[in-house]
Amino acid sequence: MDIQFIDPVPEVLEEVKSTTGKGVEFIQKDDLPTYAALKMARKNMPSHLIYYKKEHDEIINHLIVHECGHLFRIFKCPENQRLVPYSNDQIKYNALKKIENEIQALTKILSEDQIAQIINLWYSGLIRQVTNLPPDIMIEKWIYDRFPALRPLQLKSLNNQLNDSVAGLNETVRRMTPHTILHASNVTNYAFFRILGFHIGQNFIKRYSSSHYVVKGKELASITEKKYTDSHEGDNIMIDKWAAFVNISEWFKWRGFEDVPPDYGNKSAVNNSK
Amino acid sequence: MKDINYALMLIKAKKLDGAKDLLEELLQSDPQDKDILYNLGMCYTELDKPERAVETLSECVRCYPNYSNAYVALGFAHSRLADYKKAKEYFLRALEIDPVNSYALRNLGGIYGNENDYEKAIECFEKSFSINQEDQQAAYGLGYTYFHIGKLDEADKYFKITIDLDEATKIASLAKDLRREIAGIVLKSKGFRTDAMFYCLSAQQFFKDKTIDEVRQVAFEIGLKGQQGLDINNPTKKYTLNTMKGSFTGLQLVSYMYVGFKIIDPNLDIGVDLSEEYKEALRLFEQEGPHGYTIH
Repeated sequence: MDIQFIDPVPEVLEEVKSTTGKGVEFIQKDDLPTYAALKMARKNMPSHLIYYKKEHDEIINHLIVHECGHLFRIFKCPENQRLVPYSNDQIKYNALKKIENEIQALTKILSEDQIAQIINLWYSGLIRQVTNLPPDIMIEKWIYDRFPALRPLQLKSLNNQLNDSVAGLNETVRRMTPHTILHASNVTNYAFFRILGFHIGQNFIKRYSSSHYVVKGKELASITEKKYTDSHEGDNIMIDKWAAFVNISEWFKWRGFEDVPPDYGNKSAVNNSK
Repeated sequence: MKDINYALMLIKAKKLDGAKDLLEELLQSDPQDKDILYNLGMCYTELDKPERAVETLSECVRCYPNYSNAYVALGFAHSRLADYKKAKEYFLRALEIDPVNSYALRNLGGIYGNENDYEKAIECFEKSFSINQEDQQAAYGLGYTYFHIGKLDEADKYFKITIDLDEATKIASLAKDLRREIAGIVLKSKGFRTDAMFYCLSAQQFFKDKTIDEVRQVAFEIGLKGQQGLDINNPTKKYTLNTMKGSFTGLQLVSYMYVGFKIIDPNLDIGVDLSEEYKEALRLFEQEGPHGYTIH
C-alpha cells in the first residue's frame, strides 16, 4: 500500500530537501521493529531513507514528519559538530557485565537460552529509548505548535506509544526484566509523557500515578524542562543527562555523524540507527 | 546557547575540529574562561597547531597561574614544537604546583627518555602509573623505556598492560608490535631452535599437497592470531585454528606461518627470524626419502 500523504507532509518533505540538500526515499519493509524508521543520508548517500510497513494507517503521516524533525535538528548543526550515539560488542559486554547479578537472578524464572534471546532487545531497546526520547520531546512540541492539522494524528500516535510504554508497569514484565533496565525505561517514559502531556493538554501519566517511578520521573522531567537547549547540541547534552540520571552512561558512546560503518548506506539493512 | 559541555563531548568523540570551532566561538564571549582556554589549547595541539596552542595556553596560565594541568598542556605543546627544554620547564612547574600530577610525571618521563636518562624516565613513569593505573600512555612509556635498556621481561609486562587497557588504540598496536619483537629477541637469544626447525619441517610436509590458496588461508589466520599476540616462548600455552585441526604452541604456529609465507612470497619479512631453522628444515625435507629422513 502506497503512502497517502496529507498536508503538511509534502511541504515538510520539500523543506527537508532545501535544508539538507537531499530528498527522502520511502522504502517498504515489513519486518520493522517500529512503525517507521529513518536512515539519515551521509555524504555518500543520494537520499535519506524512510522505512515503513506495508500495513499502516494515516498515522504514518505524523511519523514521517516526526522523522523529518530529527533531520532538521541534526542538519542545522555545523557538520563537524554533529554527533550520534553508537554501541558495539565491547561496550555492550561492559554494560551488561555491570548488571550481571540482576540478569543472573532471572535464571530462576527464565532459561539461559531465553535470557540470551531477550538480552539484545533489552539492551538495544533501552539505548534507543534514552537516546531518542529527549529529541522526541522537542520534535513533538514542534509538531504540535507548527502543524495544528497534524494534532489529531499526533495524539493517536502518542497514545499508541503510551500503550506500549505502560506495558512496562505490568507485573509479569516487572518480574522478567532486570531492575536497571525496567527502572530506566519507566522513569524516562514517565518524564517523556509528563512533559508532552503538559504541552499538548493531555493527561498521559495517570496510569503511572500509583507506580513508584513517579518521583524520579518528575525529577527527570523537571531537569529536562529547565536545562534543555533546543538544538542538536542540546539534544545530545540532554541525552547524556538522561543516561547519567538512570545510570546507563557507559551503555553507549558518541561518534561523528559521518563516522558510520561503510555499509551504513545499504538500503536493505535497518538497525534503527539514525 | 552554546555549551562547553558539548565541546567536551566532541573532544571525547575525537571530533576535534568541531570542538575547536565551538570553543573559539565560546571564547569570544568569555575570553578568560579557564576551561575554554585549556581545552582549546589542547585541541590546537592535537590538530597540529602547536603555535596557537602555546598562545592560548600561555594566556590560560597567565590568568590562572596555579592551574597545574594547563602547564602540562603548555609543556606538551612545546614538545610538539620540539622545544624540549621549555617543555621540561613547564612539566616541572606543573609538578611544583601539584607533585602528584600524573600527566606531568608521564610527560616528564618522556622528556627524560628522549634525553637518554632512562633511570629518571622510569622513576617518572612508575610514579605516574602508580597514581593513575588507567593511563595507557604511562604504561607504554614504561614498557618502551624498559625495552630500551634491555629489561625485556619488564618491558613485556607493561606492553601487555598497555594492550589490556584498551586494545583498540594506536598505542596498543605499537605495544603489540614491540611484544612481537621481544618474543623474537627472546627466541633467538637461545640460539638455533631445534624445536622450531622440526615445526618448520612439519609445516613443509603439511603444506606439500596444499594449493597456494589453502596455504594462504592458514598463514593469514596465524598472522591474524599473531596480531592478538602469540606467546612463542611458552610451550604450555596452546592455540587452535579454523584452518588446521589440533592445538598448537605459539612457536609451532609461528613456524607454520613462516613456512607458509615463504611459499607465498619468499621475500616477505614476517618479523620473526627463523631463517636458519627454515633452511635446515628445507634441507631435511628435500632429503626425505620414502622411509623418512635422517638427521646428520
